[in-house]
Amino acid sequence: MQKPHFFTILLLLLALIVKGQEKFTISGFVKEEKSGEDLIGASVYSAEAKFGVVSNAYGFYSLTLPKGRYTIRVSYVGYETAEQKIDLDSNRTLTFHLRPAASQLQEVVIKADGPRQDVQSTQMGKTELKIQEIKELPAIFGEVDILKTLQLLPGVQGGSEGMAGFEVRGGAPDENLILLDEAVVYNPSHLFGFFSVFNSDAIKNVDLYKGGFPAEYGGRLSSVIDVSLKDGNKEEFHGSGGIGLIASRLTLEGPIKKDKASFIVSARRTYVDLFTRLINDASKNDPSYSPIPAYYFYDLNAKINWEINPKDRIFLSGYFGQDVFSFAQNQFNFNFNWGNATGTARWNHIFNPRLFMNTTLIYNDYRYDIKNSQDPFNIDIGSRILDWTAKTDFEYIPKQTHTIKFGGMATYHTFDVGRIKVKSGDSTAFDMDNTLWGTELGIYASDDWEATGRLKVNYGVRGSGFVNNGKFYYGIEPRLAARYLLKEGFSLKASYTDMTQYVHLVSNSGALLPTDVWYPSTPLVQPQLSQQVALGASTLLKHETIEVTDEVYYKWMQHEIDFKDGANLFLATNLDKQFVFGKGWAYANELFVRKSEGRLTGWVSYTLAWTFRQFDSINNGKPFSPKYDRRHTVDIVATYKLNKRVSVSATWVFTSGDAVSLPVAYMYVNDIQNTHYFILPVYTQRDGYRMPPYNRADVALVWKRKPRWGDADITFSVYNVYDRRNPYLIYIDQQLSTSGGTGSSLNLPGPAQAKQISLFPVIPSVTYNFRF
Amino acid sequence: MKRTGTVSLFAIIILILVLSGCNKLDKNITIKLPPFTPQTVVECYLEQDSTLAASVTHTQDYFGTFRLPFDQHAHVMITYNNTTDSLSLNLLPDFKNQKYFNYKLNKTIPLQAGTTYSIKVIDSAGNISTGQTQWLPPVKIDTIEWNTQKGNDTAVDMTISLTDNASTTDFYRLRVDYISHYPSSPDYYMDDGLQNGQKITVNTDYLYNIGDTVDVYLYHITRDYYNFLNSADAASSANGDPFAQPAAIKTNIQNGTGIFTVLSYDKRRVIFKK
Repeated sequence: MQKPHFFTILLLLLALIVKGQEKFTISGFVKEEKSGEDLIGASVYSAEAKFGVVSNAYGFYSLTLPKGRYTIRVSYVGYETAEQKIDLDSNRTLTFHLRPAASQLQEVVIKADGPRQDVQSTQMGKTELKIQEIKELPAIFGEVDILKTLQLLPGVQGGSEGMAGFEVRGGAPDENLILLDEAVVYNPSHLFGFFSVFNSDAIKNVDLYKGGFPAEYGGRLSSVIDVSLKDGNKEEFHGSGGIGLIASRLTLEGPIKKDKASFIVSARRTYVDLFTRLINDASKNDPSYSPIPAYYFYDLNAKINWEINPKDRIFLSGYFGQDVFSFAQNQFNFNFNWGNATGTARWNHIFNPRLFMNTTLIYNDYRYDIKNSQDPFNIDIGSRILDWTAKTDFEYIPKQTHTIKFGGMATYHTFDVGRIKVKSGDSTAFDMDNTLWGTELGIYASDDWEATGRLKVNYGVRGSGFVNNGKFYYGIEPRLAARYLLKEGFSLKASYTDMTQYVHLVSNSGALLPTDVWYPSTPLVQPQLSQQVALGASTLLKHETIEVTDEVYYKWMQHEIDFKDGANLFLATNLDKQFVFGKGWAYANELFVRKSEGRLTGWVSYTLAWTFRQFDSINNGKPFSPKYDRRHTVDIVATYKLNKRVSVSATWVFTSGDAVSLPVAYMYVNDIQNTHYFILPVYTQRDGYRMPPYNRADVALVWKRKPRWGDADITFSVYNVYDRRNPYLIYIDQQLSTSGGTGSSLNLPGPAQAKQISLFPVIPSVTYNFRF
Repeated sequence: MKRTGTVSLFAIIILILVLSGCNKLDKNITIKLPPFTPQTVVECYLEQDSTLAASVTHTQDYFGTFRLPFDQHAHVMITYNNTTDSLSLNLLPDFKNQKYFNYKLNKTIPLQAGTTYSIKVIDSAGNISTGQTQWLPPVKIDTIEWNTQKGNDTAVDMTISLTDNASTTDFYRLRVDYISHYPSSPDYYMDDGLQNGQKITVNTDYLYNIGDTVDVYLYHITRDYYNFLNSADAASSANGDPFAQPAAIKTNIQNGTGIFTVLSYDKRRVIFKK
């Protein structure tokens, strides 16, 4: 009932906004000078009008002003500001090409909103990262990883040490919507979570939303990671790459038709398997030798963009990545492959200077396959989720105080939840395939409205739906955000968001494992819901070089999913009967201080957070803190440019210990005849024990070189520089007897001893990067 | 100078790497667990043509000194068909089989399908724990087959089959006892969820030698016992596995923990021959 009312009001408002306007519009694109790459989030500002706009995800801007003479300033951090004087007496099309600032080397520096835009925007809970900034930070094994860098932001908790999985504002790992050129990436990890699928050489921009979600996003409760691939250099052919300890990368890009069309291809592969294969070959005649399993992963990103005419552009992009694990010994042969494939086709059309459209077709596919043969059996196990999505998004700027966005999408999901086939010789001994389907729908509209000079409001609504097996779920998701400018450079903000999630990850591991499967909402499994309110303040200090933001949020979650104690989730046919449903809530204060300009850049953040879950059948129905409830988190990230060629960076992380479940007692069980007795741990409280706090410092040094053929740098990185043994897990070491009795006594176990395992000691690495 | 500096940097990195490799990544820690009130643990199996035995123990603090937690002052009663039998204290553990059921009943109990059997334990502190179970008929082993391995004609693997009853939800425990060798045995728990009413075939995934003798037991077990066994495995697995679901023991003992169930089985002896 609310939806028609909202849209009626919106249409009336639109009519009022448009009526009687006789202004003119300057529109066009903001691009990088050397490559022609679109710049996302560049500021296009008129000092005379005291008004500006920001370029969208395709570099497009539209600025409507009364007739007159203006100086248009276009700025973007890391680039020289461009200015152009114009007499505005008709609609104008202007494309700005910005030159990288002189202090930068050839590396493309891409930065979205500057600090001033952050303060003036209605958007809360959003952080944007420069890819160059990410590349200068220390990285484990030298592999730059955007997901691990995101873990250094307030409100984002890393999973286990070294893992790319993360939790945002009290949400579970599956509540993060991860997009690569608009395609959903269901499993963003390689090597069981130690590396992410994003190859930093191919990435243009990373946006993280953890609250105040714009209406165009939906389908997950807790965050959106929107990753954009580079478009490819439209001016010249270039190559870049890197050689690291465990992987190497190569990217090629260039014009297909100068200024009109370009391509980019980027590949990455690990090569540890090449060495292990040599070792195995050298030892193959040793009967006591156990071969080392072979493992590698690779990624391939490709993109083509074509500017058909000034009003139409087409983008085709794709990602393909696989992890390959194999082990063979005697008659045992085990192969385990998993990976994502995505494809995106986009059409940008400018109907007029005030109306921009993007229509997208998306394919994404995540699957794993396990093939195991041990004579006489051949076992084939697998799972897959495959989506086809069509969506269209409009951006309409009727006048300078309104930016209206609206659009819709439909996704057809295929969930191959579990497939197992067992063959004995030539005959099939067992064959099971559990496939489910679902259609997800969404429509939205929002208006970013500058009500007065001080008050700006972003209001909108998203309508979502999901159909599975005759059951239709729907959600009305209002979105509201407001900014009040107390004075220049100091704003107060508030937001409310409502989110609905129709697909769920079946995982009880706490890490994103390749065998985790996605499961749709069904007649038994209701969609997960969340509501989040946030209040915040942003201010600029030190000539607008330092931005201080403080946000407080409270989030409610309903129909949260967990699993019955001891649930068997692997290949279970009745997965939805293994689920239990409950609720959750989380609240926190996030303080974020960021310096974006000058020799010293970086940020300091402190998060004070509480997260709870409550299920009737877990923990005797009492609330408990999930593993990622960490009371205190401090992140310090700093990069200092010693000179044009050398920069050093350091990160320091402190978090309260993970909540874990430990046994509080043991019990003695005889078991039946001809078995041995056993000692069982007794668990009472879910996640009732806290591990010791975690802290770690990493450092890196980037040394830039200028060979004749281009640019290069050597990056030295040391992970865990003071070699702290952080707790990865705690286990109980107890020598339980399994041998027979002595004939005169029961053979009893020794005392239990708690042990802590740490994963990574100090790890130095070096990476050589080049660009020609 | 530049080259010397670079070499020095690499040397430092290698030194750090070597030093880091020398350090252990695990260490002993002391954990202070929250207070916990001990529970009564009751374990009792009803078996055809066997005298009845039960154990009554208490849970112990996890990091306390390990000691035998047997309660020698409990009162244990079995009730069936309006008959109640009290078990007497058994002071003699079975050292050979490493079992100690500290209460026993020196008579067999008639076990019939449809009869409800109840246990009641009043422990030394006066706490009362109870449980119930029902008798299940045994399910026959259909076939036991073995095949020699390619390239090793003295090693065999074994396949056991049974036919599941389509009209009931059934649970099984399958054990193989080595008679001719060491006592550790394959032990499986399974339900008929995937193969209800079908022929169920299990490969024991063990390699035996020609000449070995094994006893194969197929237990037809209750849902309670199946849940207990699985939760016991899950609890054991969770003890140190960061990726495992922490599991509470599923029990059919009220106001306590443990298991009260029936042991209904079919048994076959196999001597592997070429």
